[in-house]
Amino acid sequence: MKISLFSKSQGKGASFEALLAPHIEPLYRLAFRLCGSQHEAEDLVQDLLVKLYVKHKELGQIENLRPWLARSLRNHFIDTLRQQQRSPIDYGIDHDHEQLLSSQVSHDSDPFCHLAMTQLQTRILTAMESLNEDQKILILMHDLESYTLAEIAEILQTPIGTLKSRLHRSRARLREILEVGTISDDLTCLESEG
Amino acid sequence: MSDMNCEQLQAQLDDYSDGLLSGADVQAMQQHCLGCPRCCELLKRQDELIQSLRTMPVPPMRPGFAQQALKRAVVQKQHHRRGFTTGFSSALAAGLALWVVVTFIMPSEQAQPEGVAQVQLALYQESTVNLVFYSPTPVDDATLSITLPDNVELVGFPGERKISWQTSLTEGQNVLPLPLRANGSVNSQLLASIESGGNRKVFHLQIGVSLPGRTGLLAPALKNMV
Repeated sequence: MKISLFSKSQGKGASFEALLAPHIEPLYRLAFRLCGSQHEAEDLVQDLLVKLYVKHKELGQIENLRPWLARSLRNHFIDTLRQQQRSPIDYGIDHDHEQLLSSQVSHDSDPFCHLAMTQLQTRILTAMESLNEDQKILILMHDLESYTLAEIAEILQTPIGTLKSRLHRSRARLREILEVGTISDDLTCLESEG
Repeated sequence: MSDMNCEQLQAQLDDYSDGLLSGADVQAMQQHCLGCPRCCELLKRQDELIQSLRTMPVPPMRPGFAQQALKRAVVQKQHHRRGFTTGFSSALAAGLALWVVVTFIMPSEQAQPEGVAQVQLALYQESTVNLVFYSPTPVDDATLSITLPDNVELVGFPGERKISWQTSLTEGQNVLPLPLRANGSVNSQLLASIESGGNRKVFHLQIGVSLPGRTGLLAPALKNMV
């Protein structure tokens, strides 16, 4: 038997590195969303890769790696929290996120528009704290990291119908909270940019 | 195009945000909004919320992190911060790791005799033998093969007698942890070979097997500079 660790082939029989390389950044992004710290996110991904390497023969057989890996990462994150006896689950969205928002460099042509978006995103992070954990993880995965509901159904082992109604309630809740601060006032500049 | 009422618009709001509506449905929605300021406002707020969520920033990974992380997972370095959590980890955590150091000779150097080292495994117990390949220079394309005797199994590879990896070696130490389990009490020999650019190096590892409880896994780290 030959395991090609660094070959360029893909799919069944592909090497561990070739299979996983395209998924490292999405995993890191999700890890950051979960724990809210760059350092911890890298540690989570590193630890997960070490765990996965033991199973690298199975990885090539998995039809859709993206949700499978996301599920593994989330499970590993929860295990880590339990080991650290941090309870309840804290997805860490209030940690480095706010610092990151405040340190963002503007790429917008209109600095006021950039400032408005940054302020709104800061308020959204605060508003997300009022969501329950199921709602938070759904918004993190679907709206921030663009996992489809079908993928999230596989990741969270939850029926897609349940996720749809949960998503509807979560977004409505966020809109409701943000309405108090007149969300539209923040972003009038975006409309003028078309 | 069918007319849409407020209730229908609200029911389709999430599908609209997720781009799952047909062109006709989107048009019906926009048409409805022209005559309904309340739904128009709702749609606008939903758009702004989704846009803000989708552009929420993430700090970039450290440069080179992805490549380093993959390499560390494959050839687990001694300096890995957290240690290992499954498979290889149990033996390491228990302090059972055995270390064997091999020097990989480059083609330009003189051929030297192949080395033999010894380790002791306890029957039916998993122990990690760390093969440390020392390379004086980086090697891009090396093939590393492990040939197991009949009575020894590489954990995670049941029934496999020969396992090969294509890998690169960094300058200095490259650690290959082998979680081994002896299923028979006879003494035997494991072969580790590394090949690159027509140069092949074979390393013989004598494996002794002791009955559990009679001998601790206290084999000293063996350094075999060949």
